[in-house]
Amino acid sequence: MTDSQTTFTAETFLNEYLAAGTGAVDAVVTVTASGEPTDGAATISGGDARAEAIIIDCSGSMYADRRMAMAKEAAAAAVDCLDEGTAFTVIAGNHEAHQIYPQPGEPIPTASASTRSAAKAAISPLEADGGTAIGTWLDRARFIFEHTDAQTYHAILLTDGKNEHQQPSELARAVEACKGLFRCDCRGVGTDWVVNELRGIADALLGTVGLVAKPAGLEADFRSIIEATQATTLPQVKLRLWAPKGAEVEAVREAAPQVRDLTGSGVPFDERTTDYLLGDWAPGETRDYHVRIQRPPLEVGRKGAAGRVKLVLANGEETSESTLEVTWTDDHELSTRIEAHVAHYTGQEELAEAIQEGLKALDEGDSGSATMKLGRAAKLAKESGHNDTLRLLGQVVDIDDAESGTVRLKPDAGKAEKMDLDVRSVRTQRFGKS
Amino acid sequence: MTAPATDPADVAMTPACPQCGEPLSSSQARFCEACGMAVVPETPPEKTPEATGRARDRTGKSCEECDGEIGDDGYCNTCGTAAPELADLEERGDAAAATHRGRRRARNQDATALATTAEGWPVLVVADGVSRSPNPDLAARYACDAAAGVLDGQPFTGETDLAGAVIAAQQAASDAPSHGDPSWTDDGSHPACTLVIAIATEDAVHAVSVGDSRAYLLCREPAGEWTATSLTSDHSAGHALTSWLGADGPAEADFARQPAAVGDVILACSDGLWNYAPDDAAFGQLVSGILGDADLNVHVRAAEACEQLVDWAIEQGGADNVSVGIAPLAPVAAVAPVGSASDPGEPDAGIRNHEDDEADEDLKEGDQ
Repeated sequence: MTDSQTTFTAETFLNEYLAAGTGAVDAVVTVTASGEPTDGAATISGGDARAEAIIIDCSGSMYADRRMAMAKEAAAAAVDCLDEGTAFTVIAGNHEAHQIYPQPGEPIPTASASTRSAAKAAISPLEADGGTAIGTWLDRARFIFEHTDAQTYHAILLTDGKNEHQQPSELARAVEACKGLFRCDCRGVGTDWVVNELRGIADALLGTVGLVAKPAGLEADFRSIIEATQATTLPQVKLRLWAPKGAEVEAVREAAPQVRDLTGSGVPFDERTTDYLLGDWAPGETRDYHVRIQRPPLEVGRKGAAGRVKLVLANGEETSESTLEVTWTDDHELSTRIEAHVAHYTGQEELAEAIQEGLKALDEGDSGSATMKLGRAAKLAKESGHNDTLRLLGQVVDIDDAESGTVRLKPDAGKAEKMDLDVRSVRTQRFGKS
Repeated sequence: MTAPATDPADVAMTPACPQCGEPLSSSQARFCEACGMAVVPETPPEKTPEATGRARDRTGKSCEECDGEIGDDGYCNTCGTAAPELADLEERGDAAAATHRGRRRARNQDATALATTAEGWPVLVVADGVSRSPNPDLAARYACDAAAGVLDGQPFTGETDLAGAVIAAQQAASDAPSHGDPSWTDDGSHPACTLVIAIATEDAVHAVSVGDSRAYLLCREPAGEWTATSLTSDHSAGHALTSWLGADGPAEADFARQPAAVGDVILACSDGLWNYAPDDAAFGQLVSGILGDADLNVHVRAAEACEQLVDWAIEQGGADNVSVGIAPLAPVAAVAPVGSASDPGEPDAGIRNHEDDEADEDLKEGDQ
């Protein structure tokens, strides 16, 4: 439901001068929904305005470390946090999906005192057993959502392992089918899951990835996910990007609050226009996007549009159109200047990339490359004031001198620390908020 | 400090000084009166297209690159090329002035202004902001407006009045802020510009120039061709200026007066035009091609001629900003006296353009 009081605005920042013969245009698009952040309860109404699926892994490995017990407590806590009237379902997943609440075939209930306790009663007897096929869990959530009438759809997915009992292509197909239908926040517990696998799911479904190293942290984490979800009352905002003939949209990425590549997820709207789903929004929320377009150059002194950006609301209304205007110049002072927002986010993308590549090299036993990449990451983090990232890097490498990027690999770095660094590498600081 | 009672609406409209927070005297103020900080006006005084009364509509135009349709934002819906920019055109009576960014410069640092003396004589003012200085566009704008403001509606007696206009323009250019130019790294230098003023009385042309902008006397020969005579000499050595307006400037002015007759034309322009026709013979040919054998005595299509000269310079490459002003020498009878208190009801040229003068008023206040 789009509140008629809420307005969306898109503001663009770009390097407006291009050197002769070049055509790469970087722009940052800041999208803001007006209004005060709320817990959502006041602004969304109607019995089944929101639908939620709680998906918990109950594969055999969940037996370890009291994970199953903690996961059940977290799922119960999530059920407790649901707003009155939210349609919800609970799915237990192993090598197949089990709809444990409501019983398959029954209509999806909305949250109330009685449905919450019935759901918790269904969660309580779950036991860890079987394998892991995450695609089947997503398929089940999609099937349920397709038969549920709501304004926003969201899933929370908890797993402790990798997708072993399913081909990667099957998982990819399942994710693809869910795109645009619901958002999914993914949480990994323990250290046997694969960051890139869950990140792939979360990126495609516009959610977040989190590492819950200790199962005891699950309950609080589930609560915060559900609370954040309930604030998103403005569904299905799209970025509509026009690019001129001969131009290529090289990248569309969410840049803040986290780095998320949306380039491949565009849906053609017309010959030169592509829509990118930005997901659901909370009133007062702001996100930044980085767009890179390569367009054919014009003569020096000419002006051209590298692109046109607008927002499309759930009801199809277009709003906040702006043109990415560029001018070709032979003045190097102008063409080499990097706009501050663009510099900020390209720097953050570079930092995330250095961390991820460094960890990958570490994983592959290429310690030379890992040292170089993670050293570069330390230097970038120091320069940009990412002290949290620097601290996380410090758990994986000994940082001798952050300013020059001199680091040594820690022989005893724990897997959880590496995964934590990996997961958090995509989180960015908003421009001007460092 | 005790502030005079102020209208609350004024307070809301007036920006505060970024340095000391005191409210500025107006949204166009160029200085904070409390601390003396130079301030870049939120909206630099600017001739709006409405002031020219000429349509600036691109509806129905197609893209010059690919013939595609031009969108509402002025860019081609197919290839994204900007529709050709139109010159900023100003008209006053039979005089006109046009200024254009050209093709290669990122912004237009030239400015033009028109004025009319108390006698009804047209005044052309062109200033060209010096690229190697901060806020050159503001220097040019301020200098033009100041010079035009001094001469407008006043009796014109000759060189002394031109000198007064140059002094006012020099002061205004010096007042242009040195900071806040997004395409300039502060290095302690100050805004600078050239200035040329040309006035056509009924029997002479007067000109003054600082820098390398020029004034020409254009005369139609019996055969229909036009000759161009440069009235001023350039203050430049190679491409470097030897005289300019601004706080750093050795502002040496070059004055000229030459007899002329009704039917002759004065022209003032920046080097963005004359660089493509640097000697008088070439300039005369250029003007002949544009004015043809039109009898400018009756109705100078000064506006059209200005636009055609701008277009021509852009076709030659448009390497610099292009500005040109044109006015005919009109017979005395054809012009009504302007701005005289004894003749308040006369709907004359000076009053017709009264709105244009607001920026000038602010400027004069700011100078005090």
